[in-house]
Amino acid sequence: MKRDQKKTPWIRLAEAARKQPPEASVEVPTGFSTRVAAQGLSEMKGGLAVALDRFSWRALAAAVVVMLLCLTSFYSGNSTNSASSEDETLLLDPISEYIEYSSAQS
Amino acid sequence: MPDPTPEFDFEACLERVRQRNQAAARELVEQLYPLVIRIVRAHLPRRVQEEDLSQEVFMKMFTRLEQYQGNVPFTHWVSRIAVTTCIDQLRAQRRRPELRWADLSENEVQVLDAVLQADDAQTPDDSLAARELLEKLLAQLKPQDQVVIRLLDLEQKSVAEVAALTGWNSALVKVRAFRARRKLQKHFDQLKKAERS
Repeated sequence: MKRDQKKTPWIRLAEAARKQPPEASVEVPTGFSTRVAAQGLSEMKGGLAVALDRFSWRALAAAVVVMLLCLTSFYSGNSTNSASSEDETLLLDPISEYIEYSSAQS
Repeated sequence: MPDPTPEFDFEACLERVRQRNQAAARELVEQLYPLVIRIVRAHLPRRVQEEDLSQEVFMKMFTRLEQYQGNVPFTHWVSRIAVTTCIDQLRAQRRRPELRWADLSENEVQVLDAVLQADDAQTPDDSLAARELLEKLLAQLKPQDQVVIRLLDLEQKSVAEVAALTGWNSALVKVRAFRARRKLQKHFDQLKKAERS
């Protein structure tokens, strides 16, 4: 904090509060380290788990990209093929072919 | 931030912890406890037990141990976990109690009177009441603002140190500190008004 800084009420209050000594005891409570170490080690991921974790995120990202590509190609292919598939249906329709043929004969 | 015990070989201890050595894990907790408890006490949210919060810090440390690359001293890495855990806890307590004149004790009112006087040389003598009043004022701020202002104005850390502890850049630390001090000034003004009325 700069010396020439104008002392606001907050700065004066902070200065006064700093005179209050912090709680002295920083000793580890009885049994704390044993309990925390045991629990921490049990929850700690092993090397394989971490590697799989990283791999699974990458695999997920790759899967999303592939899915988007599939969806894009499917919809774009579907829209261009829609007209030709209609023609195909008409050509493969025997009834309409018969009607066309009979009307041409008469 | 200096290591609590510079002679302690964290690298060797971490290597043993990675091999699931229970004694090494216990040793690591004991070495880091003073550092963690100081941070937890400085930023302890209301109604949260310091032991519970420090335990949460250690749990995060163990579960993320494989992510520690050794780019920064291990104590700095743990300090950052402790600070972010405190911010998360403060965020969880969304509701901030409104500070009213009637909530202040007699000693706190005296401290407030002293700090509101324009005399720069005078600082209140009652440091305990000053600390209590300060806590009530800080509780009005957002969690991130509380942390920044505590680190800068109470623990007197530099902007660079705060940036390293929180993971925010220096500009963001300065902006948060500026906004927090402005909000605190507003609260002082409100209390001043309430005192006069």
